[in-house]
Amino acid sequence: MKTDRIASIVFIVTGLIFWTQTGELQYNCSIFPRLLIIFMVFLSAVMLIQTFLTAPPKTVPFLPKNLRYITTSTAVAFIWIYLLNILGFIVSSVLCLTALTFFLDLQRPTFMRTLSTIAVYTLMVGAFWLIFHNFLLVPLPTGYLI
Amino acid sequence: MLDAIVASFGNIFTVKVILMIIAGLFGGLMAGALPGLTATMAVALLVPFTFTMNPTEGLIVLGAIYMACIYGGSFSAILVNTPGTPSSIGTTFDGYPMAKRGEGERAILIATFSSAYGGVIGVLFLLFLAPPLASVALKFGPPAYFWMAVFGITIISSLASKSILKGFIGGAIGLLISTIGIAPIGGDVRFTAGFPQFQGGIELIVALIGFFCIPEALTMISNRTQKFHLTEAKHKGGILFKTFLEVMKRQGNLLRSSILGTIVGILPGAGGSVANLVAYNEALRVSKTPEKFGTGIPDGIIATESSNNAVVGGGMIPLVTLGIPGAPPDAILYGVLLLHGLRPGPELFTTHSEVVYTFIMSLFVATILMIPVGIISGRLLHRTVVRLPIRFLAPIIFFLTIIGSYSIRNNVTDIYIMLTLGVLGYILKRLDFHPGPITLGLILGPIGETGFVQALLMGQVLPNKWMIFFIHPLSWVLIILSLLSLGWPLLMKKFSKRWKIKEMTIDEN
Amino acid sequence: MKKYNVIIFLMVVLVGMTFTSAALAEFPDKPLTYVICFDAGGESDITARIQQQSLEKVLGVPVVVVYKKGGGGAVGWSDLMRAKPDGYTVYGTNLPHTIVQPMTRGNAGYETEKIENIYMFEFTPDILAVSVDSEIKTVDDFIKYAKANPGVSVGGSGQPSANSLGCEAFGKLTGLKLTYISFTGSGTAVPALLGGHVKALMTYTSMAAQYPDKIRPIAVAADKRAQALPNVPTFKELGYEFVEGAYRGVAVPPGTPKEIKMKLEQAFEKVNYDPVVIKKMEDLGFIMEYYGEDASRALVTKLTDYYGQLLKDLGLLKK
Repeated sequence: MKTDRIASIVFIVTGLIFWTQTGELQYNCSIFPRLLIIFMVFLSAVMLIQTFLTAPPKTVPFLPKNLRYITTSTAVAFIWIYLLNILGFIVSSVLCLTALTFFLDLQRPTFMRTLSTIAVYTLMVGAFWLIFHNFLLVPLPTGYLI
Repeated sequence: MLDAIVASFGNIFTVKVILMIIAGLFGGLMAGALPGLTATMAVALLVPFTFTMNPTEGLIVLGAIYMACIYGGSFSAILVNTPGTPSSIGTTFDGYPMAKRGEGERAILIATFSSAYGGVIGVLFLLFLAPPLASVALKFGPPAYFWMAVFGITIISSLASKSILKGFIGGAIGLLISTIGIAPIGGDVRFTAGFPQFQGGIELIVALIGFFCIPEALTMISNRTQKFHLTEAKHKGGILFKTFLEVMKRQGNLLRSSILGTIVGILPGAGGSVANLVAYNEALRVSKTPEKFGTGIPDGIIATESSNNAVVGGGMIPLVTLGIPGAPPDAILYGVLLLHGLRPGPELFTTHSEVVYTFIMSLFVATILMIPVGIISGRLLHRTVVRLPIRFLAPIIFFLTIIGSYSIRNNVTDIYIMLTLGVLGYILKRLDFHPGPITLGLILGPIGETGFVQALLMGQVLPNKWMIFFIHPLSWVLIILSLLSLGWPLLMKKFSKRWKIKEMTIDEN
Repeated sequence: MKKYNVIIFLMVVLVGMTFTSAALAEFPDKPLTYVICFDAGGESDITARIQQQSLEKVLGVPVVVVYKKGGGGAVGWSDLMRAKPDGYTVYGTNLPHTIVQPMTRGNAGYETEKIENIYMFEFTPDILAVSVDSEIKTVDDFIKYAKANPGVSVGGSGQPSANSLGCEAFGKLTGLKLTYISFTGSGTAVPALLGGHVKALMTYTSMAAQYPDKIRPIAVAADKRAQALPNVPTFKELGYEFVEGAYRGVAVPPGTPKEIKMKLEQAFEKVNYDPVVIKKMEDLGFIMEYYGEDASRALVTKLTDYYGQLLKDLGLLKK
């Protein structure tokens, strides 16, 4: 229940922040968002009050298992996006895919396992590159490498 | 008309055209299954290829791609809880729980037969009732669009029965996110925090990928010790035939959902993303066992998948008769028709009747051929996902989200937005705010706001401008529908003990 | 172990293939990307698609049309500021959009002067149009109607846009009170007119050409009559000094070398003289224009003064 209480407060604050941004807008541009903000803040307030009144139902804990793995993987994904325009689509993707796979592996990787993982990913990313870049002619992010 | 239909068969049943349809179907399936490649994009990407073909062949290929793409979106919805296109959002609700239980193959077969059924119904309406139905597209003025959006939002009350309050807060968050960027009327810049990149707002597809894919990948990572993502199914003999009969027994659901899909398709600007959720809502409402929705039952998949493929035919009704595109991909087809000098409208049926009827009949053929093509690819994809260990599956999902969110606008900023929304979505999901209502808000926000502000402007000539929302009979129909939709689940909850927690529980012990 | 050898071999081949394609040669030697800052299927898309085939023939490389929609085009144009200036990416541009947006927004993400238009290829004038079954047949009828019904609703595409500013300018000129109702595109405004939800449209000539049996244009806001609408008078003929419309052109990222710009300018000029292109454009109601790089710049300067004054009068100027 504590998480619900925090969440409803966060929504109310978000709503108020959005409200302050509507001040300088023309009427036609601000009326709809303002009604939405009122709707959201009202519902969040109801939720906030509810957390004080009703007995908390049994819920799963807020923090997931393997939190460290989740945060690290997300960080790798952000780095991946950052690298797209530096190393290029193929290199950064193969690099980050391989890194994530090792990180999530339950066993200690062997040399052959490493090599085959890289090979499989290179083929997969390469196939996507060929389809998008050469066949559909959709430009994918490029960097100093490919 | 019959002569034209018979003549069109001669054009379609040639080896070349059938092969082109099959190729289009395979391409469409793959595009549909990849989150981010929507039907609109897939059709747009392949327009240049049709330049080398004659207009009829070009339309046939694009039609097949469109049809298959809408169906292909169900694959990823079922297998990884991520709608491949916005038209399959509702398919995640029941398709994914089935796959988790090891019934992924059955779910895919249900989606296949329902999609084909819906596709056929939509095309039949297009063929026989296009001119009278097209006028529906003109009846909807700004106030009606606003009320339609309101009706859409009330669907949340049946989507999120575990906590209706949280469902509506989620919907409000989605609506508010949709207002970021340039205001649709008036053109002021809102909520961009000074970043010019946000002027275009948060692209729906980018948000969809973020809110659905990333939480799923993170949940997989959280369950890394399980090694595999889905339970492997024991192979049952005769599943194909048994599932076919099972789907065909539910004629009521199939017909209702297909007709709803056709009607939503006719309305300009709505399309499959709205249709599938409306059909899901209605299926749940008339069901004798509403509490089972969301736990993985065939009726949920049947409703969403038959309605979204009915949108294909429905959306073409105003396109060919009035030159007004129904669903978003029809806008591309409109462009293709114009480029070939085929101006849509009543005269298209008289001066170019062979092209039109060949195109419509080819959609019919494509829908039927979609069954074998879909079963083959669906089984293959199912086997791959089931046997791929999490250490490969989770990174590959990240990879696909990156491609998907980038290619929608060729913009790296969109990938950052996608991932950020994904993390936010994961946190919200842990707090029991599910992605369904949020994306519903995102879809309906622009429709609602445009209708709302346009109506207020129109109302300036009235004594009180707010009256504009209540003077048309159509508005009242939609208001009553909204009240029914909002109140029904609440009533059911109050008077029926059967209604229990149906929402998917977080996959965690 | 044989399996791995095959995989490694394929890897080497694949990497090798992608590197060799990077070799340099005469411009252009790889596909040209033509970015449209609006929705697929819209008018900017259709004009680009008409040019596409002819442009491929002239340049001898594939031309890829991609979409970067959002913000009335501003998202794409702010990307244009940062795009690689190698000539392989051109952006479709629209006037008055690229002039008006930086004037009315705090930060549009680009500056009008930094958009290097290398060719402006068509002009689409505004038209005042009503539904074919409307009792309004001439501009005089419309003015009479609008005087009797103040606040008459006029639909159009976007705001601020050539349609919305045209509506304002026409209202000012004739002293009428019009309510402009903005739609998200020229196409989406048409059903609203046909369904009777708005009384008239301030839209483009292209719409009258595309829906000849449904909408009735009553006057064109151009210096001379449009080829696709020979029977429709101009406002000037009727005594109203009212010219308004949208131009389309192509621009390259700032800093693109002079020689490459010239090559592209010539290519687009050649495309513009292609009879197939002219026929398709004019059939759809677009009016061919032939502004080269210098002429385009002069046009932008001229229009900047005009819109600056108009926006100032309307109180919409932000900076």
